[in-house]
Amino acid sequence: MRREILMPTVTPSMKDGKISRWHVAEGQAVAAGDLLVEVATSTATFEIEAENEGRVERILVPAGTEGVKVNTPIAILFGGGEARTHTAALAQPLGFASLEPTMRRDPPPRPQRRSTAARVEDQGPSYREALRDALAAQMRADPDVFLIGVDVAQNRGAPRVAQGLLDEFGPARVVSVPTLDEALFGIAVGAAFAGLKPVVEVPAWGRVMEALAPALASAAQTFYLSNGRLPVPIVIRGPNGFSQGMTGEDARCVAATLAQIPGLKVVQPATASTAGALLGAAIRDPGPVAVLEHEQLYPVREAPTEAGIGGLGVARLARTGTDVTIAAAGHALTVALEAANALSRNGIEAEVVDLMCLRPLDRETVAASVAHTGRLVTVEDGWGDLGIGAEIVASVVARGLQGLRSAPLRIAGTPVPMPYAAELQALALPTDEQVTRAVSAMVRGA
Amino acid sequence: MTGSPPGPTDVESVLLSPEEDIAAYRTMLLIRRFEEKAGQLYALQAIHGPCPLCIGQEAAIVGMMMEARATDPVITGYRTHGALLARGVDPRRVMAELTGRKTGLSSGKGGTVRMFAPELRFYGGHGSAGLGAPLGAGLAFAARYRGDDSVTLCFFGDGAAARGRVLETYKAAARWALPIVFVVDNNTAAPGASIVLGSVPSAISESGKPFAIPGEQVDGIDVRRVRAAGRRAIERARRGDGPTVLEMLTYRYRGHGGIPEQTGGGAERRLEDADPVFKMRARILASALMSERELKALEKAVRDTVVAAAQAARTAPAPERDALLASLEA
Repeated sequence: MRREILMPTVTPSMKDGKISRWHVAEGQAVAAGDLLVEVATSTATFEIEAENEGRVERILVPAGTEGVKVNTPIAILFGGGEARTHTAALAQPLGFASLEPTMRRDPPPRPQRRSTAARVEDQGPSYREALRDALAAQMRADPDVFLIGVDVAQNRGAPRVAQGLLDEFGPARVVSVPTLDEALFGIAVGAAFAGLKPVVEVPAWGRVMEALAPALASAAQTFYLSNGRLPVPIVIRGPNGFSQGMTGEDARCVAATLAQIPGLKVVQPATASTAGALLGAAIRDPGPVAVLEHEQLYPVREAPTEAGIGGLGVARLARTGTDVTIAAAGHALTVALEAANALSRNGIEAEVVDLMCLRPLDRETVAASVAHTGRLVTVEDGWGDLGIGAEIVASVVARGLQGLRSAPLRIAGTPVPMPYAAELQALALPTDEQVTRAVSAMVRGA
Repeated sequence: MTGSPPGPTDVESVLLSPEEDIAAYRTMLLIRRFEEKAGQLYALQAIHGPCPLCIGQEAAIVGMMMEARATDPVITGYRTHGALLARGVDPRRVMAELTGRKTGLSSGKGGTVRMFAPELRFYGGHGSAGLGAPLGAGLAFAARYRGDDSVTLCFFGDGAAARGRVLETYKAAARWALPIVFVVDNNTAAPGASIVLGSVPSAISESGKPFAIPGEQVDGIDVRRVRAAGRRAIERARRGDGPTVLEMLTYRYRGHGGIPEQTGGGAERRLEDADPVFKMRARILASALMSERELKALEKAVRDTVVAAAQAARTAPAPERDALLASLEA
């Protein structure tokens, strides 16, 4: 049976992208999990995998083509797999190709899959690989560091960050559990009491909050309530917020909720080049750290940069500009950067602050940028009410209104439980268009 | 061994030396006098927070702690004082914590529940009922991970034993055969309830059964029986055979948290047979280990220690202002 592979969306707001590279040729057989094609947007590069087996019959859009509209057929596959019906009404493509985190049918392990060494040199590791490499480096450096999570061993966990770790470190340090209940979070915190450095992988932050809450309270408060007698060196990490097709707490962004807890550090990496450094710093930190990753960022590759991080609690300028400061972290930072690129084409230069860490929050870097641009916009995926943006705006205006050329603006996730329909999901999250429009209006004084 | 009350051979298997009997009595009495004094300070409002006392549960605590090595981790629920004192923490620091003084074990930040002495392998005091169980299993997990042969003692109450997180912990502890003993203090605290030791209908000692964790109901009034059961469970864990649930049948004489509670007429009654401290004293006298005069001297020394701790706890300075923000992050 013949099926079309459609141009995928990488973010709900994506309209088109570039086919930067085909990993397969016409006539080639592919198995589920094989890399098919690399798709680029203005800010990021994504690898797309085959969902089922088949043979590439035709490549409809050659590598190098720009402006390929979402849902345009880009190739035809023949045979294999179960039939899947497409309807034009689906906003998200559901062909053979889809974003790898979307389809949770784990393909068999394929360690040599990324054998294109030249490719890696070109583009650097993906966000996922950077996290894995940082984890592996910390595990090599410190025998007290271990990974625990659902299926982190054989299946490498839902985010598949744990690839290869079982082989290198064995089951004693890559501890697979069937589920993360209250007891397992408690066990991890208790192990940290004893001086071990557990890294707990959660399948989705929003989903585990209820089971995590008692142990998290203990982890965050014990150092203080013991007056410094008992540190709790634990890292809890995993995807946070939106994940295609997930609803309610499964897609909830917990950044603002966690960032309110004294004694806890909260890290939200946005890029491959910072993710590894932030996770490494989190594991070395003597206290508890929450690392909020993002499903849609895992496959994103990025050219390696020399820029390190300044430590937990230090923001960085992801882009310099003169007209407006946009502050964001994690996935929202990619939205901000896409907006900044669009704005630049219209003569507005945005300075984009990658917060990287929400607690401690680097208010100084934001304030210094605003002192320079005179305008402030915050972007966050989570509910904005009493959120990250509110805190940043408050800290900036508390320094005085004199330098401000416009009233600060918050752009945030719609304060509703994440609904299911793709069209509604797209409406519930900040988009680059929304940011572009808001900033244009602010700068033009409209 | 599940469910059957320990027989005489269990008691004889613990060869208590006279020194150990006296040490057990001294520690049990210290806990008793300390808790009585804490109850007074609570009534005087010198202790301004909750103050769960362990009067009546001294043998269950002391017997287990005597069987543990100094390197075996200990963790408790919110009822901390007895285990802290039995582990050797200075009573002055515990009492000063109860009065929220700078000299307290947590420098006045923790109160009755949040006291920690990691240098003595005492890992707190945890308020959320039953949370000590998974945290304790984490200590045992660390022992397994490092390959040391320590066994964690994990104390909690009969109320906590019914929490889902405790049963979840049993599941994980059984799967990994963690070196831990769950010591459940069943103080049969229902107001007005009468107690016939050894025949309290309860499923706690059986609660590990679905996970193949053995359990025992133990006469928690008799320190020797506690030691016998404790020795079996600790040895089993140290061998690598996994956890045990020990249900200590005890009797709580005082209201929860130092707060007088309504009773049906029986809860405040002191039953001499059910008083571990009186019972131990009578045994020492009967076996002529110590004379009445020697006992009185020991008791005076204990009382003086507690009185001095209470005096210091009332007069010590409050934490300074800058303590508020100190030690928030490691």
